[in-house]
Amino acid sequence: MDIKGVSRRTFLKLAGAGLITLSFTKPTFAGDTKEKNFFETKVGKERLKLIKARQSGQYKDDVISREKFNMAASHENPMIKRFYTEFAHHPLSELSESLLHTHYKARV
Amino acid sequence: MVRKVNTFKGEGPLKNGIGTYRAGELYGIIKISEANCVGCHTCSGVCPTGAIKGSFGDKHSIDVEKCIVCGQCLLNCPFGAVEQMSFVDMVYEKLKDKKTKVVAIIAPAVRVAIGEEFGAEPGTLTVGRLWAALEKAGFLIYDNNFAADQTILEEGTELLAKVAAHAGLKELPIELWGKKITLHVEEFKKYPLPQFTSCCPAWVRYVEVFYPRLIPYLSSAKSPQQMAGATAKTYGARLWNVRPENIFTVGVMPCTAKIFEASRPEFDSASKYLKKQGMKDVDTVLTTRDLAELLKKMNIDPMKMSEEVSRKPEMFKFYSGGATIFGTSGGVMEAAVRFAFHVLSGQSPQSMSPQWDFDGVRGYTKPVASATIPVPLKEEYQKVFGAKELQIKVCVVNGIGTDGAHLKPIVDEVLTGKSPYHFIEVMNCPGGCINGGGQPVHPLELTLWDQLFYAFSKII
Ligand code: SF4
Ligand code: SF4
Ligand code: SF4
Repeated sequence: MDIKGVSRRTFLKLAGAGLITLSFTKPTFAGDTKEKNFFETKVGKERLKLIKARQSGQYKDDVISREKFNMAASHENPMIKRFYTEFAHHPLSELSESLLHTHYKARV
Repeated sequence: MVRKVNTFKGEGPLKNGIGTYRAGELYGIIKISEANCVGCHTCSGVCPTGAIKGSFGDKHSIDVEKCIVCGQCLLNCPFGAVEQMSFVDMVYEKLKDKKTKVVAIIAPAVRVAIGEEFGAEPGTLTVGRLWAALEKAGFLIYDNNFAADQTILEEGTELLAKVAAHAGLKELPIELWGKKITLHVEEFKKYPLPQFTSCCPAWVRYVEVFYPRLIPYLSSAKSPQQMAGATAKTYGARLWNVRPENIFTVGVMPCTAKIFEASRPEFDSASKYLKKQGMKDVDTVLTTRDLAELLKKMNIDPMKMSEEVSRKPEMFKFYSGGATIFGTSGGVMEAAVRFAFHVLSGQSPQSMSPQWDFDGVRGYTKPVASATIPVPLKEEYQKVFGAKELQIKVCVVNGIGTDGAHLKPIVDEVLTGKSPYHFIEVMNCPGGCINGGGQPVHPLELTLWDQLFYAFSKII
């Protein structure tokens, strides 16, 4: 093996040196996370900008819904009122229980 | 910018249950491609359940039994080695079938991320143009934000019923839209407080697999996606004037766990209600990425459409502010608190009033948020509760955290009877669904050193 003037011997030497360094410095995201707070992990810190941008998009939509359409809370949605008046009667009605509620199952 | 994620076709629902999966459910929705895995161990550091096998340098794999299908490993693998089961082709075929009405159930968090797949900045709000794009593709729209409003009415009322029952009441009169109903709350006493939210299917599976003792604490309310599916095939069929069996419901979700959720065998309530066999409430699920792939396949670019499509009071499309913040950590809680505040106090502040803002419950980028909310009681309730004010104590778990790091202290309090809370929101993904496993992937940036390291470790 002789790639661009590096003999196999030199290559292995380099590899060895590399390996020694590697045993001290792991790549950025590698290894188990000891941090208890995701947002302070290396991955978490990289994600902050993206998370904040999308969150603020969501709160912007809250403002639009309130400012332009006068609906801050769910019961203020006239279509919700219509849904209950025409169909589901009221929250926790028998019909609501059968279509909008569920149960869970232990998986052990 | 964003990276294409490798997908594969599944083998369909399980014929027989295996381990922590029941017959009918989808198995192995998230998997690691051995060929592409370099053993960097990043995925293990973000997995909430310790489901990933392999040490640094090894090929990694997922223990499907423990996996809750959240897709955080997929989102964060620097090498794109994690793959997702996809149903894009199935939906494409359904759209071509003229007999079928294909309904898109669009989750809140999709509208702040899908633009990224078409070159927009993260967080770009995409509502009118997303609807327009979907309608052009042939979908009917059932905005999951409308279903989020349904969820709040059900889950919020359930919470009030439990709180009243534990305060010793037998009945609770509530007034909605000027109409009075009397809830018989005595039977709710059998459900312990705090109530946990149930709209995150990864969290629900986490409870079922790891903490079955918490099952009685979970709200019985279905997730918005499942409420939407069940409503679309019953009330929706009536409004659209189509036969329920000709409706094909597609969850469009920021989430891979939603693919699993839709396959849960009990989610055939429309079938049971209509006494017609064999309908699933939600037929299949596309992630935000899958939807982008489908739209590109059909040459539709939502970012080229107008956002100014008017939001009219239209059934299944109109939604409140409380509903849209479901996509971010603390949003379900805030929406529930807004509703409970109205019912208990009888007050209806102006919609821009800061009285509707409950900043203390917003998760933002804190691992856990908690707040005590003083709610003034209307006169009628002052008598029954024997107080002028109710202190509602709530907690928001913003991501389960590595091996449950954010969640465990909160759950331990509940299991030892020391929890001070009435209501706890848990979202698997840090930041909420906006950072869900089905969202557009922005690859973690590797340093030059990292790149050399992996290039090198491939040679030797
Ligand atoms: S993050 Fe990706 S490449 Fe790294 S170990 Fe996990 S699957 Fe393999
Ligand atoms: S990160 Fe989520 S999807 Fe990935 S293995 Fe863990 S539980 Fe499963
Ligand atoms: S937090 Fe949202 S995106 Fe993440 S698993 Fe739960 S429902 Fe899905």
